[in-house]
Amino acid sequence: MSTGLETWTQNLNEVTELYPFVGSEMILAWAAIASWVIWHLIQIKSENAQLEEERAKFSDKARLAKAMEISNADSLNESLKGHASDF
Amino acid sequence: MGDQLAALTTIFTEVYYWITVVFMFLIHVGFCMYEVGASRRKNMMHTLMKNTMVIPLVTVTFFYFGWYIYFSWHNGIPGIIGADPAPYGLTDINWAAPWSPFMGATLNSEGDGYWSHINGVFWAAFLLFSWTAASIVSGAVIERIRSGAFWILAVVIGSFTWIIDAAWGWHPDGWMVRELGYHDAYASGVIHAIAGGFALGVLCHLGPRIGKFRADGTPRNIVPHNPWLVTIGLFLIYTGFWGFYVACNIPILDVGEMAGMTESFFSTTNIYLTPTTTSAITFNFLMSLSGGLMMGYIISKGDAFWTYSSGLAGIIAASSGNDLYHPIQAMFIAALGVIFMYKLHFWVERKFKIDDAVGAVAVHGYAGWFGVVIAGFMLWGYPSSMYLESTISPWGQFVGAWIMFGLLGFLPAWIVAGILKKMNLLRIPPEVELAGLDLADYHGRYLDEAQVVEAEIQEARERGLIN
Repeated sequence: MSTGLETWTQNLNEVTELYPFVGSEMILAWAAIASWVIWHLIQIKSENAQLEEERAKFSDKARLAKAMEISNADSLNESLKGHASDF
Repeated sequence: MGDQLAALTTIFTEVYYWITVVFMFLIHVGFCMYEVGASRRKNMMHTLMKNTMVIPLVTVTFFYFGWYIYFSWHNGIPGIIGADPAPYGLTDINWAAPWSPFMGATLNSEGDGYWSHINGVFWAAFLLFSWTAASIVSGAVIERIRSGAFWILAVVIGSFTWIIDAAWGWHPDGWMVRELGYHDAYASGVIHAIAGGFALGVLCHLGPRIGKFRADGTPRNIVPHNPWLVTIGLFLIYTGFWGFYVACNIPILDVGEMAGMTESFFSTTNIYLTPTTTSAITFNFLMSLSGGLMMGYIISKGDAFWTYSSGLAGIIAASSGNDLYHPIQAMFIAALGVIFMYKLHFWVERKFKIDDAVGAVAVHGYAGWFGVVIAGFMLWGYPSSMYLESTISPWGQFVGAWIMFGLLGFLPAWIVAGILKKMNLLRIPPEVELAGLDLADYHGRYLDEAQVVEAEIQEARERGLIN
């Protein structure tokens, strides 16, 4: 049994496809296109859910203010706070 | 391949394109570094992943349909535009359809050893242009676009609209080359103008980052969190650009017969099959880079971000004709292109409140548009390809520049981004944008990190290593 090439000892000018299961290309292509579309659908659904969860969490004003303080820390801007008149 | 000259030509060409692909990979590395450096600390990982996933998504879709479009849409949208029959029928593109034996490991499919060897590396060279087009857009929209929306837009430009423009104007049989005499050897229009126009179309719907504009409409600077990453990123883009330039050429081709000669004449050619030399484009690449950098330094008063970007814009502004220009012409054209894109960037920013985070619309879109138009004056009367009678002209290039920037760049982006906006899929919610996209995406990891420190202290106490 062979899924493709059976020997290299032949006229190499007549060797064509090297991959196994020659003839399945059309099925592979459509399966791949479907998987690409499904990937986008899954990704968008997941991202929407995550963003909605985060939006709900940060709709609490105190929590959002704290988050902004944390995520903006250690920046040059932060270090310069209180020193604006020096520059 | 029994014939030694045919074998050498084929395998040299195969290896040549493979090397260009490796070089061009650095463009994407550079764009990732640049964008991460330009973003604020709170958005770094989101920015990185947004651009990284361009690689697989554009790759698979370019395999599924991008390559096919390049060879089948020379006459415009099939059956709608164009007077002459296409050189290949829609069903005859046997090397470019995803189910073709040429789109895989093969030695001699259909008796064609040349395409069996070349198809994969030639596809990959075009694919890396596709990544570049999508990546250019990526930088403009950082810190507020949803990843899912960007990835749909990336596929639209990377595997659809840019390759249509390549079929139309970056192929010796394209209708723009035949009818308009369009000439764009190193892709001022077919990659840069279209990507810049596309970014502008998205930005119109996306809107600026929160805090970008003051109440009176004047813009604030949002400073890169890591200028070193920006610098290295731009240097890597320069490096990858070398690969881009040579990938636009066919390294060895016998053009003697096409020229009407009785003997062979082997030459490097551009994509239109007209002869040039690698030396010519090396001269012009470096001189246009230099012209861009020098003008960028002067006009921006030594601003590092704009000086580096101007180097890139300088090359882009000269790229349409860099197969034929004199190096000093290339240098002056680059300098003029930098003035044009720099002034236009700030005017558009103030007038229309467009927040282009990395200046992508200017560096690629405006400089690319300029590059196509200026080539029409500089190369007026030159033949547009090896065997066509159409010639390069200012009006042909002007129409071509608007097709690239407006028709295939701005318009599709404006439509698709508009649809995504209507579906509430385009922009990050403001609460999440303010909190920071990484805090939203990675808060679990940050919490873990804090807990790990506490756990280490606890463990150290239990072992008596600290009090």
